[in-house]
Amino acid sequence: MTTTRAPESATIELEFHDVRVTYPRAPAPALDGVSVRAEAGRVTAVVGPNGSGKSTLVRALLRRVPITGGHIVVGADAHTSLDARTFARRVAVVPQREEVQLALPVHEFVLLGRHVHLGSFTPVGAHDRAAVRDALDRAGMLHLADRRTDTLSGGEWQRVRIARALAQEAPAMVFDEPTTFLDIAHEMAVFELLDALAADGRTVLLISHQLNLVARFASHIVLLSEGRVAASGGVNEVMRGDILETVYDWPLVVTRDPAVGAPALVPLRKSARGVRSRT
Amino acid sequence: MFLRAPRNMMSVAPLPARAARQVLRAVCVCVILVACAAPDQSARTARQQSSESTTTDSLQTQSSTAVAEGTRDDFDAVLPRDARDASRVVSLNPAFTEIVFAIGAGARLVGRTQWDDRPAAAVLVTDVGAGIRPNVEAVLATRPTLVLLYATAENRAAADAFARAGVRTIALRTITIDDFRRAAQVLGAALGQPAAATALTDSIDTTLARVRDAVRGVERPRVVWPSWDAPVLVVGNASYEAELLDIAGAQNVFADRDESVANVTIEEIAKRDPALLLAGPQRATRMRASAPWNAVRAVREGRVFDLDTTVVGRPGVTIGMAAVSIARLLHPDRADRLP
Amino acid sequence: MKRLLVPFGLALLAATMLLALAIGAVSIPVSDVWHALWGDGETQVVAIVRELRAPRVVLAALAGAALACSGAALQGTLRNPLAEPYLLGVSGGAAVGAVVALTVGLATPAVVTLAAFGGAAVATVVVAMLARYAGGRAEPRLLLMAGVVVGAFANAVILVALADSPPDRIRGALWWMMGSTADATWGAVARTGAALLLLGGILVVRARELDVLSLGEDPAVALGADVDRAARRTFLVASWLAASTVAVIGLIGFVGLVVPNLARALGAHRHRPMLVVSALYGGVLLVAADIVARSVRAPIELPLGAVTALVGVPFFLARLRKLA
Repeated sequence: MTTTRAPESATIELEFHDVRVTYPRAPAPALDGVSVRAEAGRVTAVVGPNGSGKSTLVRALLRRVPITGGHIVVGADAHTSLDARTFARRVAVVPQREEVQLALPVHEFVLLGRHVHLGSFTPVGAHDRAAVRDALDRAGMLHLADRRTDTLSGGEWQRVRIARALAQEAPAMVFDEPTTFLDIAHEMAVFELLDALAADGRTVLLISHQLNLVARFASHIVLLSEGRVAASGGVNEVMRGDILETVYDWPLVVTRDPAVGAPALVPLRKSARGVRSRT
Repeated sequence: MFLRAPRNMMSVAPLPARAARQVLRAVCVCVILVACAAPDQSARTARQQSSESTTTDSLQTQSSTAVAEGTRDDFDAVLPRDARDASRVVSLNPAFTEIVFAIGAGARLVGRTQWDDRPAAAVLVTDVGAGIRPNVEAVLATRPTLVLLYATAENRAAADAFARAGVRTIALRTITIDDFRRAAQVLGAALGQPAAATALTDSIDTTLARVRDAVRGVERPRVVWPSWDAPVLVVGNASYEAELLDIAGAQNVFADRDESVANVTIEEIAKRDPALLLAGPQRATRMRASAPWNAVRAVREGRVFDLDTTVVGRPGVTIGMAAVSIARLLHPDRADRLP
Repeated sequence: MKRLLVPFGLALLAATMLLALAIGAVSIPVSDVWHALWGDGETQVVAIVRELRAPRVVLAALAGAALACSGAALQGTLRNPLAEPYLLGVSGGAAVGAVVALTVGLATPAVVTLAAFGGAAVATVVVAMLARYAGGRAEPRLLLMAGVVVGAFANAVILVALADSPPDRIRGALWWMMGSTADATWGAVARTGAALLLLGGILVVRARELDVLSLGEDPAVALGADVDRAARRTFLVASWLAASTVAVIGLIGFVGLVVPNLARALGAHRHRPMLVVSALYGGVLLVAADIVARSVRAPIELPLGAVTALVGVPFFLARLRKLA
């Protein structure tokens, strides 16, 4: 007999509609009418230079900053209308940064991801433990389940946090720069995980710097620049040299990588005198 | 089109249940607040019971007229009607110790405070530490049957503690000379020496009367009596020091203040310009040497007089001699009329 | 080792309490103490043990547990291992309440207790409101700053109240602030026990939420905690728990700071076991401090707050070094 809820079987959609966010005392809005739609069953990626507003999107979703215009819809409801638990049942978010505050064994730490289902009173059941095990496995951390969180490397810590979000078993998942500290192998593993999650029918929203990997794994990409959408659509619509060069303000070319058949971005060097010449 | 998730699958605990939990929490907190407000009844009852635990027959001989049935001490406990409980007495105040010896009941004393140094015989009695916030356990170690407490608010907890331990207490103030008279009478009755107590108060009254007579008609100098330097505290009204000044033929410059000890400034003293100042020897020395104090004319002109603190220090049995010593200071020309 | 923490703590607490019962200004042999607990023996000895020492020892244990629990919960909510209830207005508010009661002459123990608790309760609500006013949320940084501000204000009020008071009232106020179990009665014990059970109980029951809160604000929201409400509730409950001890025992610092860190060092990280372990070892610490306070310079009693500070300061420094 399960004492906790079964994973959500329904799918939901995340939509940012014409969202505006201005930080207090800031000269310009951080987000100026951004629309992003993350559908179930695919990986939606938000990319852009530093300061383009990517993380503000996540903060707005988490209600850490108020939106001054537009609205955000989680499932069928406006994000501000949901109480904390309902929200967490629908969306699991892996924030960009997190310090180690509790020195727990990894499996207990991941168990915290079940909080939205367990609350303060429900005892931990077989289903919860299974969810934790599954999450650790998918994040590639099962072999470190008994290590304490204050003894992990940067990459291991990041994957443990991903596992925690997986244990939440929410139909939508948001990852804010999930591969910052990961080496090639682990980074690929995470992207493949995102792919698998989408294939499972979940809604996956990814914020990332890794344009090349995004190009290979995301079905829908939104390119932000200075708080606005510079381009949005499929890989071929967004991964174009002229657009990217303008947005990133750096010389680059977009080639087609024969090994994977996806566009690959190659940044060029500026000339010795510091002046770029367009060729 | 996206699939809409059925709403009821994701609803949280229904609103009434959550509200009920919060109300319950608030009620519990209020209960704690109210419970904290309920005074500690048990100790109060115990104290009253222990002070009323006398039978109808009194074993000891005289019961003083000053202790009528139902008279209470300064903590509102019923006073004993006789000396039944007074076989082993602890005195937690120097004035009481002096009185106890003066009325001839010194043999009953089994404990005194660390400050009780008079009369000489007091030193032989066991020292039980402080008189204010006494160490109850140390007092109980002497197995007392009666404890004499100074009636200040800080001693209330100790009074309760003694009551809980089944030991009777008498709490008295000694702020005015009347307080002292009352204390003597109460202690006289409680220790089985009412006549000696009367004799003591009579003798002191006689001395005070003689001092009053001796300085009758004299011109009263305007006097300030600082009892503390930082902040500057002076003798005000309604205290034995104020009464001594009056008896000894002085006019207290700060008699207009209600408090027995008044918080003033050197500036105000300078402005009121007393004729002379009285202070204990150490304080007097400091005042003479202090620049701010020298703004007061009397200090500048050397009219700060040392009080004999051995007699003036507290409202004890030496109060008569205190009046005499002050009168001598103020009116040396009347010295021959003074006792 | 972790599994033994609680039974060992219980045993240590029992042993310390028995030791405290056996020590005092009057030297009573341990066997007599034991008999006196059950009512056998000379009436004076029984009275001393049951009416004087026992309430003090039990009160010290309960107050130590309450302070440690309160500190543990606050450190989790504020995500700061150096947080303790006194930083957040509890001590200032309680002292104002008590000192004002003492200086206007309403000095019966019951009134002082009520005034102290009321002062602390009001102060913590003011702190929570100030933090909210400043930032819209009960954010840790804002709570700490508001707590410091309220504490400073409270100190000013105390000084003003004392400035014009006669020496004996000042002395009384100072004594109260230094902390002591000397005025312990069974009534005070019952009240503190009730507060510990109720408020501490709330904290223990909601410990999982504390775990989530302590991760950080973003992760906590992501995991479904109503951070604002939970933080405010924990802050108020923990502060009132500390306030209930200050009301009866005066200002005793460092217990709420030191013990939770000790519990974590012993391996209790999740808040449910950490709260329980903190409570047990907090009781041990305060009973031990009381023993020291009563016996080092008998019959004079050292202020309890001073003894805990003497223990706490070196610990605090050691912890600072480790953090740096």
